[in-house]
Amino acid sequence: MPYVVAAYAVVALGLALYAWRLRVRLRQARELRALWEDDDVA
Amino acid sequence: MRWLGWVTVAALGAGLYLGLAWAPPDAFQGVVQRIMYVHVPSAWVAFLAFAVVAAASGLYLGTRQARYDRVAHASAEVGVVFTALAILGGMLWGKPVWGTWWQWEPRLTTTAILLAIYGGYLLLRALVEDRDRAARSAAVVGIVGFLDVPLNYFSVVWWRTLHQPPSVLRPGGASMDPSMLIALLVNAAAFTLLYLVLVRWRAELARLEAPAWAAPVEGPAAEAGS
Repeated sequence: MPYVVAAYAVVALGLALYAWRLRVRLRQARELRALWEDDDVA
Repeated sequence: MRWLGWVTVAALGAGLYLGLAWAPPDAFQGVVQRIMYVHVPSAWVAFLAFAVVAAASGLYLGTRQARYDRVAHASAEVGVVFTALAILGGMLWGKPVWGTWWQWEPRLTTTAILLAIYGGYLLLRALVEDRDRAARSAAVVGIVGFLDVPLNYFSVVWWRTLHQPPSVLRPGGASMDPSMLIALLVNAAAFTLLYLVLVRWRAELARLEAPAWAAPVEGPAAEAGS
């Protein structure tokens, strides 16, 4: 049983961390792009 | 596309229930066999991801449209994540069943090579400063590297060593209980949906992170018109 718990935890944590990191980078990239476009318009 | 995220969450929840509670334990391996429901879908998605890398890379080399390069890049990164998880899940399955975390037998070795190839692909993209040159070089690696996928898949058929042969895609049909097969297929579908969500996010990130001056360039037609 410990091996099953460890395997599911590794997969779940790995995917959750990757997805969370992607969401953070996406939000930052959108904010940066919006700032750049505002500068360009100005 | 918010619905895709919710469908994915529901599918992952259903897969978790089917794999951990609904499907019966294996007659020989006991509960440890339940690792199959995350290990096999991870490996399947890795294969799918690298097939998409090869196809998108071919399209990029043929058309030079940046969107194909972004899809290839995104799929390679997501594929590396799933390959690493397939290896880790496999090690946690191997220890109680085989008595060892790792052995340099054909399936495990070709999987490690797959991780090295696409890890190198991502490194190449990060290190080459000229974006066009990086995209072209990575596309070649993405296509040539895919040769390891069929080698990896058939390694358990051509060289019978430690890893078991295919249990689903084999002559004569699947060699497992129907309830186990259902749990496996639901998990494979859920992981595939998650792959689509992650690739979509990663490709969007690549689009946003591209230099603003490069954004309008979308292939030879656009260049010819400018």
